[in-house]
Amino acid sequence: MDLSPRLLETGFLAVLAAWTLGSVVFALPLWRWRQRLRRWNQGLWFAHWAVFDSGRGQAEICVYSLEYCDRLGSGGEWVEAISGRPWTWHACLWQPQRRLADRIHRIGQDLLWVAERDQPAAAWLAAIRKVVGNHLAAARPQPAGTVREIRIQATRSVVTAGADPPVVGWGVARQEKRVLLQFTAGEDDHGR
Amino acid sequence: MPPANDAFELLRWAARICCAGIVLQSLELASLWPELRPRRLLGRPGDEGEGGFAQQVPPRAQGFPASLFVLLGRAGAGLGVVLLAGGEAINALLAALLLCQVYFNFRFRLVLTNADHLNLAILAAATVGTLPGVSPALRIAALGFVAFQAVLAYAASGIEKLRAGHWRAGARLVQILQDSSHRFPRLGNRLAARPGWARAASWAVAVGEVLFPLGLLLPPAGFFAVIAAGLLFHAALAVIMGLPMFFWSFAATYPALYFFHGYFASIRP
Repeated sequence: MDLSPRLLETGFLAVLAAWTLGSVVFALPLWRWRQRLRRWNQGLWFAHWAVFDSGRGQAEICVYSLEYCDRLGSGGEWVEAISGRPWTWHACLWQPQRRLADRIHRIGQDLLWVAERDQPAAAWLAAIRKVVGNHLAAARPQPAGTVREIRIQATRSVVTAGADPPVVGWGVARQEKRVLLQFTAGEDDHGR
Repeated sequence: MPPANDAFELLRWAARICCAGIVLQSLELASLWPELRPRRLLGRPGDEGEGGFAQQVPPRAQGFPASLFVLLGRAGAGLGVVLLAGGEAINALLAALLLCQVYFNFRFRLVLTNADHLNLAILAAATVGTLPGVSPALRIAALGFVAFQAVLAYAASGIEKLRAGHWRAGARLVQILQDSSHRFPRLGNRLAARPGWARAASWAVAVGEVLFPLGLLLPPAGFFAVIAAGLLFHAALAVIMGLPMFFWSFAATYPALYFFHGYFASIRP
């Protein structure tokens, strides 16, 4: 195969140049907006860890040590593995539970600020408790079905690829601490 | 190792090393075949809910044995690149691996690591740069692209560590040793008992990463010392943090660094 057309070569060089520029933008903390974008993405990531069980009126968020959450397998699989319940976030988005889903998403975003700080585990948990509490107190309008219970459980769970629970995480799925927030939501949040 | 000015051979070496990692990674995943349930490997992110694209694809096509087939095929293609001496078959294999990597990086876009990005960059550069008939300038550009990605990855990681208080204090390193799944609690405890050591080790890693690009400007002995230190560092990460792919991905960029070290040496007065 002879790639004589210079156009192809020029095109490839343009791709490399654009790729290089994009890498610089996204690899280095150069602009504030990029930080915001990243934080927003991570907030979304947290939201991905929310799992609902409308039958039992419960919602859970798993909060991971941030530096490790990006090493895990896809969120749904983990939520499935950890909670033992099916992955229902996307279904939730279009269901009456949306309000609770949105709230949890916002909580997830704010939890990032907490999780990024260097704090001992007890202080971290206290801060998470505060964030969640503030969110619930500030909710306007107050949801008819309020969260009745927040149970925070700090665990240390170590999971390796091939271990139980099963993970396909490129063989590098590692999990550190886990904080489980358990919401027991009111009936309206579940559309019943 | 080919001569430092042989861009074609150095690209081939980059591809070989990268593909060695891909082979091991694919086989590791394939060994987990009982877990290759629908949508775990094949599918799109966001398809977990009802009505998504994945719903229209038969589960058999998304899980086992389709996933196993893809992984074994990927391992086979990688092995071909490693073992074949030459010929256009290598370009076809590299193109297939590149497509596969594009798909996987999309599929697992929320969980990508530096190694995944580097694999994509190396495969793209090697796929095009080793085509017969392309100009020497394009080959050098492809090598330059790979070298820049490596330098950027090191520097950005170092900067991130230097910006993070828990890294600067050494606490993060202790935490990794104590808590991560390939943990070394004894070593972690020892470092925890000697915060000064933990701090020194953390700073050494971060500063080493930030200064890594300067290795290109060192005399040959210094450059090879930097490369050896890099290999040792990634081997240690593979053991301590369970990140074997980083070893292969970063090592695969070293032929490109070798090329530019030779280039800088040749233009130095």
